Amino acid sequence: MSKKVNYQGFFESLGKQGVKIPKEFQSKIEDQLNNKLNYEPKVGVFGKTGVGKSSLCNAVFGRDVCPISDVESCTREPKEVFLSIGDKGLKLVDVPGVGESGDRDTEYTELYENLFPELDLILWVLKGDDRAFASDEQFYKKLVRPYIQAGKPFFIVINQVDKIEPFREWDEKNNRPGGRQAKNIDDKHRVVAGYFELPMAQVLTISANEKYHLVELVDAVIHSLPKDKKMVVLKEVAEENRSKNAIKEAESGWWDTVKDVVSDVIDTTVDYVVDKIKSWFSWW
Amino acid sequence: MEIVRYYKHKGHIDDLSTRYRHFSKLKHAKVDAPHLEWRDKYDGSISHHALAVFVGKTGYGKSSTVNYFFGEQIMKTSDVEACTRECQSLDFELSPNCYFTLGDLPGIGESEYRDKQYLKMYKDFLCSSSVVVFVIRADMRDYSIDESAYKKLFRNNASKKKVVFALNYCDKIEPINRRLSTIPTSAQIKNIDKKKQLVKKLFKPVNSIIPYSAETGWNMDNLANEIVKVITNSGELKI
Repeated sequence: MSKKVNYQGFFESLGKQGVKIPKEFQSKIEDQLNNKLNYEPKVGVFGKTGVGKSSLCNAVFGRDVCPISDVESCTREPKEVFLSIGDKGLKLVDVPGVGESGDRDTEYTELYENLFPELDLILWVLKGDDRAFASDEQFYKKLVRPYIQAGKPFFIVINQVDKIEPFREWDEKNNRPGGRQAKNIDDKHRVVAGYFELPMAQVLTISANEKYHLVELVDAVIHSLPKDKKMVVLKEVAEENRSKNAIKEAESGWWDTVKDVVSDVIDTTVDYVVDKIKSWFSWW
Repeated sequence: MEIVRYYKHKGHIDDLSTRYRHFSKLKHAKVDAPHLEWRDKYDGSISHHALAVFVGKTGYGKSSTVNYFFGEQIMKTSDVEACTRECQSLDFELSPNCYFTLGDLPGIGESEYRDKQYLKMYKDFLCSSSVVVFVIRADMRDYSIDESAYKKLFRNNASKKKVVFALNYCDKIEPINRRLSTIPTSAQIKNIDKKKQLVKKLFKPVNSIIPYSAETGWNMDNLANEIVKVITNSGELKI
């Protein structure tokens, strides 16, 4: 379902500031902005079976968007990869794990190759207490790396860090790792960044089950997205995971988009005027 | 062909059987099969070994399992990185010149490049082993590497008979229980049983699948029992 925002108040305010926009340009601007607001961002969540892709999605978006199973693989059918969450239709690509059974791997390779180009953001999920990354390495080097070099927002997410040894040290009261565990999480962070040849900032340590570092994950994701996509993605994130910074960044990204669209249509820069009036409007 | 086995400890089978009584069944046994002969690289002496090798993916707790049997942190382990690069073994004397040996091999699945070397190494060791403990993790769902390694290594029934599937990390299976307890909760037991069924379906093992935990020691005596059973059934020992 697509939403239409009424921009009349916005155009009136612009007019009062001396920027009068002819009717036909107004509708052009409206269409372009509505298109961007109604854009359905596609987030690809990749990783082996059992790393917690579904739990991660559920924790970040705060709704049960994916079925979860404790034991068996539950995201089997490659056709079921698009799960719609909310009427806005943010699309999550929770693909079956790399592996599970040798025969299916070829099938997945093709699937992944087709999916990557249309994604806005890629999260590659690893399990914190795993260290067998051979299949991740294969897929990463063959399929992911070429796309990140083209500037695609990409993160390695080390999930389930609460299970990194010694896992009984996890401080449940304060929701954070215990001393030795914290050190092992840091080591893991470094080892994984080295292994995938990525800067530390592109590798995130979280626990979906314990809701640990989810805000930090959302911050990093919002920061990495192009300005016109920050807001549409952040709107789908559970409120508890939106930091003040992320909201600020998404809003300013959106206003920059508005400036671009208006300036482009009327062929005059409106940055100064928009900055003056933008605090009167809320996009939430 | 020469395969190399380093030993970290030479002791007596009593060292093990005082901890796990099943090992005492091997006491006084004569190891009698040409493929179980080893020559000491330095003094040329010959000894006979009923070798139990631990194979499987890196981080699955092969070294920890050997350590738990032995009762000491003799094999180096890491919570983060792979650290076993060669066959490290512990020898326990059964009778003059005959030993029961626990052999810890490097883990696969760390990188494509290393896997080639390690799988070759596994193959070499298979011929000289009486039992292969194939360690997999109960708290993981991705068995693609385990499956393909198993298929490559064990092609006939004779070799499959040597394999014991050991399902480690049962203490970490969902629903996670952070209180240190030597036995899994009933909800965990349910998931462990489901896991056993899945492993049975995937690998179709000849011997029993043993769930256990090398962290809490849960069900390690059953693992010991299964290892001893496979060795005694092999006919390579005179007891």
